[in-house]
Amino acid sequence: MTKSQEISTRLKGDVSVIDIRGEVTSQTGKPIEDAYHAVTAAGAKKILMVFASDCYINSGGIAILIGILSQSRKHAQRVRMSGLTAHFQKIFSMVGLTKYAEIHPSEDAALSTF
Amino acid sequence: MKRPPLKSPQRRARETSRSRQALEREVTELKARYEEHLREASRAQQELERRMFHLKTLYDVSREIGFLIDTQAIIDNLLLMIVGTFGVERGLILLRDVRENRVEAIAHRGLEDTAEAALKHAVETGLLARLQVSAGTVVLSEHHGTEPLSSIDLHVWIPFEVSESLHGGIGLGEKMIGEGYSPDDSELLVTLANQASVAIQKARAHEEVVRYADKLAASLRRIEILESMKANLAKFVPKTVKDLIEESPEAPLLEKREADVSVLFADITGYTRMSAKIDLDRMNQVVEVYFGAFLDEILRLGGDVNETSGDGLMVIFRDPDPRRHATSAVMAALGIHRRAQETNATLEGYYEPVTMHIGVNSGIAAVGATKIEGAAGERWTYTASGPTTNIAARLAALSEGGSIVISEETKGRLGEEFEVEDLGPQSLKNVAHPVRAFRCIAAAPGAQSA
Repeated sequence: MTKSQEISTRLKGDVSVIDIRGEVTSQTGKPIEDAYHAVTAAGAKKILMVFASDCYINSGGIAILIGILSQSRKHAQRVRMSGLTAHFQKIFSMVGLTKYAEIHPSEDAALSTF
Repeated sequence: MKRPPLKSPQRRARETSRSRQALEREVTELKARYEEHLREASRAQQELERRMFHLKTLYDVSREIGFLIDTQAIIDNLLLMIVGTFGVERGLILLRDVRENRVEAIAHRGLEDTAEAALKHAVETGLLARLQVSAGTVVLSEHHGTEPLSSIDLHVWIPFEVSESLHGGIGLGEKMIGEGYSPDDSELLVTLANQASVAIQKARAHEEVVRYADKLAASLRRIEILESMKANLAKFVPKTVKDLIEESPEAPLLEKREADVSVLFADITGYTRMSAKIDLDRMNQVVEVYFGAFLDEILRLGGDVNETSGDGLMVIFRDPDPRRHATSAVMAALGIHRRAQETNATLEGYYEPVTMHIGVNSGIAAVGATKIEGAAGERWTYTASGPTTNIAARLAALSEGGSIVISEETKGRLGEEFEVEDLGPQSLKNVAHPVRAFRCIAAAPGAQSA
């Protein structure tokens, strides 16, 4: 994990929450993939990715998220995202990420949709 | 003044209704135009954001892969950025050696595990060779001969060229948003392919430099080993041979040639008796101490120790001036006796005093390599052979401890400063005719090789 990134996981009811802070790029993507694999190995079927307001996501990072969403479909998992700025919400919509993961303005709002 | 007739209430109502309808139409039209403008502005904003995102990708690509010096890392990173930029689940970057029809490097995301083997097969059988670099962005469904790519659900292919022998391609699946690839997308993809080409060229140049550096380091290591071997081997090799090899390393002139030389044989008197009295290690120490002292004298006078046996030395003296090498040989013989006496004094009480018996002869000898070849290998020795050498050895055997016996030939080349005693003609073993010998007693102070 790089200095400018923090990834942690927690359980909120039956939802596995992955908290993401800092950069999400091709260079820093592996810890996020590791976190996803860890919650999947623990049997998670509902996953919420919570992005901190300071998150910076580039195209390499988006590719990492696309890969995670592709795998989540194979594992029949439901994935939600929250905390994204308006800018990244637009980008995610533009590249089609929203087709496979709903985006919600807050963690609570996202949790209420599972 | 005539007043206009009053409108009836019904007429006024009709007119008002018409005006209102016209107004409503106008409002509806304005509203529709306004909404159209809003949609247009939204589309423009969306397009602007898309272009900014693409620009940001170009910036990130140049920043992130510009510093990479490993081809595989470059294509791995570039593929991630392309996949994220265009929102695709399947992507591939492939580098192939077009001369050998071989996959040089491959990076893929979202493809089945079997895809890589299928692609390698397609490259080896030349199936991908049809996709020319000049083709730009190829929509695979519209292009014949691209089945290996379309069969793994790739939708477009952007060929690029790194060098004459190395071609590459970026393959992408359908976009997750379901739209096709626009001309703008195509333009961006070609730009990214060009960036990949430059980055890979740079990485390969670096890889080549590293390979050369590794080769150089290995060569230097080999040279170090060879130098070390040379230094160790040099201890066993006559100086003449070292000089000849250094002069012409690839084809040293080692063949035997006739040359005028002086040959000196020096043996330890009573070596067999001494070696029976003290153990082998101590005997070796004695020989090393004395012969080390003798070597200083020999080298100072230009002699070349040709061989050593347990108790003796054979030394060859060469010089263009025949008098000079004969004088040097005799001076060296006198020096050996002097150094033996000095060493005896130093080691008094520790070892028995050592005396040497020495013979010197001068004349023509066959100087060069004697080759002994067997089935298991060969052994070369560099020596001076022939009667001149045999007589020198016999003269040494003739001399007694502490004396020097020289031949008439050698004596004839010396100056007046040497004091000699005529021993008369001597019958020497394996020498057909008697040889007149002289005992060299001393040299006048200040005598030196001519």
